[in-house]
Amino acid sequence: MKIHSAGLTDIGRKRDNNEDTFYADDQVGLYIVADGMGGHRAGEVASSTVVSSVKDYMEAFHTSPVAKDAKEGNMSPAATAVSHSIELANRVVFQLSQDQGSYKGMGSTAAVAYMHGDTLVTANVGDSRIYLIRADGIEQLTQDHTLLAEHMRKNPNWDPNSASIPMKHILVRAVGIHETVETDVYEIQPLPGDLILMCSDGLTDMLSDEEIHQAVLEGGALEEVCDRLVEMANERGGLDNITAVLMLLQKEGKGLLQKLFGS
Amino acid sequence: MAQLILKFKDLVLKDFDLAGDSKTIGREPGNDIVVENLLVSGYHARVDAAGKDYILTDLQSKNGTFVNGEQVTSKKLKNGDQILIGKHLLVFSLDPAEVEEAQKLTEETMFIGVAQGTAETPSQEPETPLLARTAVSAERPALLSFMSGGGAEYEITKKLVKLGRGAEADVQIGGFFTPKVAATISRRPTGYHLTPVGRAKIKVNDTQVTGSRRLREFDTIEVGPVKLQFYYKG
Repeated sequence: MKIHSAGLTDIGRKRDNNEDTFYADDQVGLYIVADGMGGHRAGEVASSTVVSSVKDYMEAFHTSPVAKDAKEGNMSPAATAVSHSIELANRVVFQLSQDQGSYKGMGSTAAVAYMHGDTLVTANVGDSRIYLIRADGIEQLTQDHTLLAEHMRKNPNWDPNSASIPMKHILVRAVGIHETVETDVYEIQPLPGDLILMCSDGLTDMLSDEEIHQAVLEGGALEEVCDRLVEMANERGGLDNITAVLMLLQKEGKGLLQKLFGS
Repeated sequence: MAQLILKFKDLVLKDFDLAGDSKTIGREPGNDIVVENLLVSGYHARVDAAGKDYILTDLQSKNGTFVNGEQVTSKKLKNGDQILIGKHLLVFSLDPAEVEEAQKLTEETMFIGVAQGTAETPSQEPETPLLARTAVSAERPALLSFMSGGGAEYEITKKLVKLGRGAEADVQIGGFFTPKVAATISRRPTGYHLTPVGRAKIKVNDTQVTGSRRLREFDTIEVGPVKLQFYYKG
């Protein structure tokens, strides 16, 4: 499967700085969204550290998939590597926050997608999301690690509007807060034509899944779709930094159709 | 109206309306909020109304009072503050109108604080945030049972299960025309999704699958000469 992607990050309308960082590499098939938190510039440091750590680890794995990422329990070597890359990022951010007073308490979300052969590995910590988008629906491939989402999972019939607790913005897991981190990892066999959207909560707090689905299906170049999503979130108030990375998965090889119309 | 919601693990035990009053919290029956646990002092802490605000004060309790993971002697409460007393949690909660005023503060993403294993900390698992360790996964364990043409049962523990004739397949399917990998089953937050590989013809409940399909309990999956049934464990 080969991937074409576009990505965009925007400060939004209410914040003074952008603590989101993203990365997209179609050659390696690696995509990262990180949403940092912490005072002063610490949020930006945390999210960019997550991106650089994950990128370094995964590029090394991509060049030579090595033994230390051999199958771990229920995961393939590629999924194990993604999990390890987030553990590495966690150690690096945690260490930085211990070493420097101004970085104390900083952390970040991490959403990582890695295409390996015909399998897409997705992983996350925190509330940055990964969606699978097809003509007939939108599916969140990640679980949010927020107090609200955890509560909803345990009490499926509970009405979130009944609570006055702002649980939506309270993370129960983040990268760099503790010495270790638990990462959710999934493996998916995508189909040609699938779209994958990765985003920070600045997008999903402002737009519903249905609105995102509609906006993506309106089509256009991948860059235009990202622009459209960010613009919509800003029109709704743009309360937080907004990041959107959109990937289009296509069949590899030289089919007749692709020879004639291929990009 | 301001409330204190008493929780133990993920169970909500009781709500207490503050209604501009003062409330004491402790193990003794004379308290307004009685928390029956040996880690809780007789008179452990109190919450006092001060204008529109509420102030929490630790009454020199033996094991301390923690707000969002930090030990406090006295603190003005914010909506959503988590007060840890022994192993019980009191969540301070305002109603939506009151919250709107404070909304600016709560739009900030924050991490739920956790006491980091100091000597006085009564919480025993400082590694994991209090609420995270009771997290329940949405994924229920599931099985594939052979209805014809194979072994007995296969428990889906892997994130991505491959079905086919090849050595790389997790579920071996015989048959000369069966592809090396005919289909995969991916386990994810929304459930189990079956996807045929390439042009493999896979039927679920006698209907050929195009694209991908979310499995429901007791679906029958037909791959080559083999019929499997999907169901949840336990």
